[in-house]
Amino acid sequence: MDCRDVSELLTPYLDGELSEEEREAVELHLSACLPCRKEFEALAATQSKIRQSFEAVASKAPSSQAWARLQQRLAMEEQPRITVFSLAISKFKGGMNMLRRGLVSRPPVWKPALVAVLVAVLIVGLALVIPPYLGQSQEVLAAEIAQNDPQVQELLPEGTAIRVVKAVRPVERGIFHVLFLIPCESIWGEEGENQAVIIDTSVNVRERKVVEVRALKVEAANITPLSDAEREKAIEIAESNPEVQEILNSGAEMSRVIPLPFFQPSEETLTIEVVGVVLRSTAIDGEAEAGGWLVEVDLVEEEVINILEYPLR
Amino acid sequence: MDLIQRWQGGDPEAFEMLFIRYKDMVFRTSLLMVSDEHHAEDILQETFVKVYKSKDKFKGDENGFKKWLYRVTVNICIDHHRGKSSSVSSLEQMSEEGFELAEADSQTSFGLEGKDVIWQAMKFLDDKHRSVVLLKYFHELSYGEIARILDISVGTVKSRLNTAIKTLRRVLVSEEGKKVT
Repeated sequence: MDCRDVSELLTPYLDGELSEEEREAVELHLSACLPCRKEFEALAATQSKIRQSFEAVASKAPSSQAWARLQQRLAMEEQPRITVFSLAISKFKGGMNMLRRGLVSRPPVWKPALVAVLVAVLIVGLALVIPPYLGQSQEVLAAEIAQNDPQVQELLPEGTAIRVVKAVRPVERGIFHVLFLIPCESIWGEEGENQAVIIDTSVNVRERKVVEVRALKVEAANITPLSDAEREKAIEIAESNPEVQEILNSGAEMSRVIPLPFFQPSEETLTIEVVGVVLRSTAIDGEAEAGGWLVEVDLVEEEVINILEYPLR
Repeated sequence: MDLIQRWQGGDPEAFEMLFIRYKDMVFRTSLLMVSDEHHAEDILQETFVKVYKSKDKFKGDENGFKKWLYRVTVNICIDHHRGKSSSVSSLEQMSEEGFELAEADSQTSFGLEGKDVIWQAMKFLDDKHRSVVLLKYFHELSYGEIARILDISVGTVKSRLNTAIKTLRRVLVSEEGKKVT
């Protein structure tokens, strides 16, 4: 057995993985060969260092939330893939007086135009205050939890196709808002033509339960699309404002111009031709904070009325 | 009835007990493979999702389960590495290019690697060499057991360990040389 053969056997020798015959041959060679003995000692020292370093890992353990996370994950894996916009519900068992009063037991009368406007308003509103969206599976799970909650089921008129507008992650970690949109028309007939009730259900997906149910009565408003000239004008007005310039200089960018159909004119600003310019900045490795601003621009008076900062996370 | 039979018989507590019993083993194996606690947490989740889905497919006792779990964990770690650009050089590349620890990516959230030259050196091992090293010197498994887990021959285990230990030794020598000079 020469030095090259022995070299191949030194690691298994140290690991006790050689046959009796091989072990004796290696020991015989080492007793007579100084270079191989040195290599053997170096490999033994290396193994010893590896084991010492690995000791630090022996005390490591996963987070105490690991089991809860796994349960949540498995629950999601088992969820049927339901379409968010096609949830149909459920039995009417009572519920808020506001919803019960005047309820007519008849097939719902959906006015597609009204619904479209309300959905658009909601999405615009939500985009302003609660980005970003999470993955579909968590949204679907949140929707499922909300629609199976007995309290929520009680609030929903029988036979009405209830729509989950969007389940989104708000500022609170792990909480989703599932919004059920009920046109008032389906409750009060023509009286409620331009109104709707939204059942805003806060769902804690981790704990798989509904933590808050709120009813929001909303007014519908038509949204006229902004022209390119209006958008350009809004940007120009916003850019000339010193405070907006400061925000832009800090790394934020203009993301879009949106109509503000529910802008409430004050005594000072009587005009209602107000649009919003949305600014966003993204956190880059802790160098800058993520942020969002809504700049309210009066297109008639050609001035910035207000700058609102809203949370991104 | 043992734990595996209870799990496969549909006892929900048995799955939780398997998780409690083996979570540390899976987590530490993953940590040694990927050197990042957050990724190791994710791999722990992936591994047990796979276990959960394999309830009706797995055949064997708890001893076999443990070995199968090693294999699933290592495979998921390897997939994890494949899924992102890795800074790990292949051993073949290294022998051509020589060693230069300063070139290794020292960004980790592990916290040990900056201080311990072995952790720096481990970065030079690719997944197949790294997995035999940790199964041998962390889990203290025999060559035969490692061969069965990784579905390779005992001869391959021997040759990979040989290469890995010699590589680590050369990196250590190179580092000690730098300290002296």
